[in-house]
Amino acid sequence: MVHAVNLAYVPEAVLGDQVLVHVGVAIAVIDAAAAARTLGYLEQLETTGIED
Amino acid sequence: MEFSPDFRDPSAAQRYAAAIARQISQPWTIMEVCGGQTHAIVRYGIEQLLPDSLTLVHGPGCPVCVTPPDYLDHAITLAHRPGVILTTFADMLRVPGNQGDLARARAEGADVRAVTSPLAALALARANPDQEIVFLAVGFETTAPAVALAVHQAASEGCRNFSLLVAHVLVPPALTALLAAPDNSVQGFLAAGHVCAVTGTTAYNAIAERWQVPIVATGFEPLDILHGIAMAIAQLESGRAEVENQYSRAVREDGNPAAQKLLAEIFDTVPRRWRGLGLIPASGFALASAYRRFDAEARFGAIPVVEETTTPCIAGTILRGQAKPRDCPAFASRCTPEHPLGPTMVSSEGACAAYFRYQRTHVSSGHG
Repeated sequence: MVHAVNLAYVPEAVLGDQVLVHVGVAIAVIDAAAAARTLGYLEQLETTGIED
Repeated sequence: MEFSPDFRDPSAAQRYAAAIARQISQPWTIMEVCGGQTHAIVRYGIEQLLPDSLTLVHGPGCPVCVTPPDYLDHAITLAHRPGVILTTFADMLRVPGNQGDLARARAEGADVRAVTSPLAALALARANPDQEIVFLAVGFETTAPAVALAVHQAASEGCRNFSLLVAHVLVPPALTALLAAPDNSVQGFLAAGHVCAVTGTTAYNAIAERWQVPIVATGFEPLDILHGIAMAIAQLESGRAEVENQYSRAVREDGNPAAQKLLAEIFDTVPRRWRGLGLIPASGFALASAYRRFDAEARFGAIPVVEETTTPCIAGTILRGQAKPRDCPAFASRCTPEHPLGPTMVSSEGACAAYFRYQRTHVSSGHG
């Protein structure tokens, strides 16, 4: 399904980016590197423990 | 969303739960602020994975739920006016006001239309120049930028038949109100990631410091939520009270500056009444004076404050995190999504709707 999305608030977006869309308007460009880092947190948690 | 399967990995969820259980040394109570997070928690059974010493309470982050009933009454009145097309998000149609709901008004002949975006309401105004299009605008800082864009476009086009009933609310003042309550039990917050994508995390620094509570901007996938909980527990166990960002793939420290700039131009910050929480200072948006011509209250008359009718619904208590849906005697008996007694059973972000949909027959794990 294709929806029109307003990009007025993400001037930095380029072709191929994923954006976070809310009620028809993009409010953030998804940072793929940050997503990968987030998924890596679990291993860090298991190796170093929760208290930093 | 491309990343979603990774953020729903069940074995990783088990590992998170085990890591949290290993590190927790005493009981803690954490509130997830957003109704979208509540739905993920209930849908994926996240509470059942977690140690009994951790209590999750569901917060007020359901915009449909916190909108006072008199906005609905006013919208219903406007919808019945000849020549008016009343538009709003689909979730709002079945929320009970004091005198019925918008779906009933539609059945009685009023022109009520669900739209997926305020920009679609503006498009309807362009397509129907002889009618008045009113948009009932509800939502947090996540939704307000789209509404600001619609108002800005309407102004630049010279649109004369578009107006709004603005019921926008802001998250940080609501957290302050919850923390200031004498019976507050919340020791840490998972802040709503999508709200933070607009406001940034700095909006919460003063609250974390003043009330000494950890606040973690958190996403909506199961692993996001477990990750956010792990970060909050790490802070609580080590005596820290900071603002942290779990949802870094969408949330920057300074949020979305372009959206903030337009919000500041289109709206003024005003006191706002919340269903369940009462009047909270500086907790809502109203159209700024330069845009008052788009205010439906200015065009058609102010919203009369109506005494809330007595109802067996305990939505207010649930929105303050002081009760769970199953604590309500009407839950899943007199009150269902087909025949909702209150907003928390209607909205796709409401806690009662989440429990009804996913955990009606679940056996409580004892702490939930």
